[in-house]
Amino acid sequence: MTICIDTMVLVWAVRGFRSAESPAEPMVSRTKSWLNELERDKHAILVPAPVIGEYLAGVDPTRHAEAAAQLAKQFPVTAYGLVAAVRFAELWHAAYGTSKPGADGRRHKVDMQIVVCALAAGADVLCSHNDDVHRFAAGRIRVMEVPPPRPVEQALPGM
Amino acid sequence: MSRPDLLEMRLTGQGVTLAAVPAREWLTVADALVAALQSGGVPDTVLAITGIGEGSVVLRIGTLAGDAVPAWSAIRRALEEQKVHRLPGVAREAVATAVRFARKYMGRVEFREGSAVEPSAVIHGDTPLLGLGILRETTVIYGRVYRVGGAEPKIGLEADTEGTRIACWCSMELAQRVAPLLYQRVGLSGEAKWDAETWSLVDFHARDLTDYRERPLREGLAALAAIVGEDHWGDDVVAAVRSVRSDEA
Repeated sequence: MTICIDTMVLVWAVRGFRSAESPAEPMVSRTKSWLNELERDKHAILVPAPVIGEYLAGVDPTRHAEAAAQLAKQFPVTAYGLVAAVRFAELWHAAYGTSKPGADGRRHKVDMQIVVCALAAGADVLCSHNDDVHRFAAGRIRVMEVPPPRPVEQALPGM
Repeated sequence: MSRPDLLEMRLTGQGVTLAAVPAREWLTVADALVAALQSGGVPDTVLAITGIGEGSVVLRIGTLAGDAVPAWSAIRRALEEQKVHRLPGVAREAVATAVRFARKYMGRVEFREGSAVEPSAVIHGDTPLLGLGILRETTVIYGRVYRVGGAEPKIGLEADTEGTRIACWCSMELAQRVAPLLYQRVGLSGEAKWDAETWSLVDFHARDLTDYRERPLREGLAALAAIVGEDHWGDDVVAAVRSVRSDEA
């Protein structure tokens, strides 16, 4: 299975593998344990190019090139290319038709770009904590949030 | 040919002579067809060469599953309807291989089923492989390498985009670079052709290998965290991302 991740998931993922002084944020530890599960079960994790752009916007510019190179080494990066662009237009028309959507529509451009990158890459699942991404992806691709860790099965005393 | 479960493939035409066509060429055509039939869930395909003579090479392909071979039915229908681009990757590749053969030797590839005298399908050099709504773009295709090489070098990839196996054209130099990565996930950059109706990958010509490799996630993310240091996303990352997207307006 291939799983496409949104920006907040990438932020939590990287924080989760920072050295020991990382704050114990619940979503960071949740993401870390989910990613470990995905890796153990041999699932592929994809990162859309617009997510990389957003992620790096929150990073010191002197580190952008090196960070981007490391991301491209580690993850398949799904580009916002011609196929994704055509699918963006489909999605846009489904949401707004030919009317001018105003500020609301402009706000949704990145949400839609992430959805169409996931579709163009043939991802099975898109993982995001953004309501609009969930709304645009509905019916086109399975969307989810980072799941809570699976409970560890404990043997009952005497078993 | 009396057995109804036999499919006869006849390579015939002006340029198809024993002197002109090396055995490996018609075996390549047969091999591609057998791979397509087997991909449709018919593991017991048997290939028998039953006739070789001037002007034609006749190969008979028998299957224990009788004539109800879904993969063959799909190929025959796609040829009739000129929708070869809609076939799954391996079947599409079988037709493309036959088209290349027909072009190279100014011939054709005929198929007969059971005891039929007339061919039920014919592939010519100008048999269309692409649909009308084809989009071309330079892109990167990711997947697991399952095969590399061949007289015409190709990389077999279990592609993320398709969920199925695709054959990527490539140079010999690129095939040599990819060969040590057999069974590993890679990224190949190149030119892709997509069916704009189904969004399936019709053809891919790989030009280069990207830096992406399968690496332990822990090491990769730890390296990234070391490069990035502290990020500026704050405590409420979900709200921060929503805010960045809202600020576009």
